[in-house]
Amino acid sequence: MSSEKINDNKIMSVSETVALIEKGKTLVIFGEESQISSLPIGNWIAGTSPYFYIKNENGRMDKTSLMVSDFSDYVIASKSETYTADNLAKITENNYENGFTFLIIPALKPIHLKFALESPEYKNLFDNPLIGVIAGVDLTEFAAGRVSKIINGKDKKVLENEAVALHCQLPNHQVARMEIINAFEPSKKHIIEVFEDTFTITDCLIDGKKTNLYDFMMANNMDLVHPLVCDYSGATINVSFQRLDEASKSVIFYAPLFKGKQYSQAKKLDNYADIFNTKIKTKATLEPSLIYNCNCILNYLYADLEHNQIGFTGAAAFGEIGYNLLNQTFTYLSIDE
Amino acid sequence: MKIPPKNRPEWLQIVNQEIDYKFQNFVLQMKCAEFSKKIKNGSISQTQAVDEFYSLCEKYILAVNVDLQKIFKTY
Repeated sequence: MSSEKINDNKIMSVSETVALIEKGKTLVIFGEESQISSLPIGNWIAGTSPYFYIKNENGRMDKTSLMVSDFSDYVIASKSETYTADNLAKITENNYENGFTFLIIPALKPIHLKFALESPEYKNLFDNPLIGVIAGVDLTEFAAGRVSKIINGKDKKVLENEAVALHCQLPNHQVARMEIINAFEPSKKHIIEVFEDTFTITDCLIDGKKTNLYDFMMANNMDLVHPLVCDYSGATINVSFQRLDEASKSVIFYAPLFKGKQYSQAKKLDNYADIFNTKIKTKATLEPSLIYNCNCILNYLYADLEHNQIGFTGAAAFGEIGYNLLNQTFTYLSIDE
Repeated sequence: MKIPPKNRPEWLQIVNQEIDYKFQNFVLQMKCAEFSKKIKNGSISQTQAVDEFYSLCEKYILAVNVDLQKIFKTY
């Protein structure tokens, strides 16, 4: 397909974004809290994230611009809703009969962890695409205690413990479809299974034998760059390492591992950017109408996207949402008609 | 464009993962993984699973047409 059919996210100034809002456009916005807060009330939702990857340019951390996705040309109706950790499971009840929902959740807050654990059981989860991101902030500031935020443009409340969703309706002759591109593949070298759904592992089964994962990783020189992966009937789902905790001899992840699933560490990648670009060329660029894409902050860092480009523009997130919580995954939304 | 009739036995084989075929479409991959778990723990019947999967295939007919042709051959 021609690249003209790819509707990339766009880097915009605050004033350019204000102009779109004043025209009544339906927007999803990422950037610094101070910039987002200066926008007028309107039909938009936003999350903090200053890391941008850019088509035909090196990526950058940008605290003055905004990354804007404009869905106005596609949707015939939309509504934004704010959810708490207690009612997020009802998000699918607000779906239009035909459309998609874009969800933004603040990073590493209880609502993030609850969504990760419970979303596989949400009622009618797969009726419409549920796509979105985990908001983030400058990583240095995050380490110092700064938290990510979400904002609903209809009241401009800046929140750090709630999630915000933009429910979008499409005309009946169109259908939204979300897909993922994962540079990683399972090594199946060692099979890891957990005893319960969890973000933190001490003991687990490795190749059927009860083993301390921390000790196993140290003994086998396993790195934190290559995530654990699990096969979901053909979809490779990553679970990224957050850190090793020496004191408790445990391993902490950015997403939960689920009981009953089999995980293995991903095969080592020689060059993420090359492998990713190859996968992009054989999948995303062939899409008839791609209207949104997102990549992970870990891919941004490990693939050095400040000095590379992947043929798309977007904001790097602290996690991706593709019905469930995803890690280290490129996601996109396409429209079929 | 149409999809195979719901009474074709392949639908049951798909939701029971008796056909070794990986769908290209993400939502169908996730749905197959969900069925594998739910049918095993008895929280969904095979008939319900076929109904749900059939509906998704109708919705995403453009994206799954190639997959369905490979599985069902003729219909």
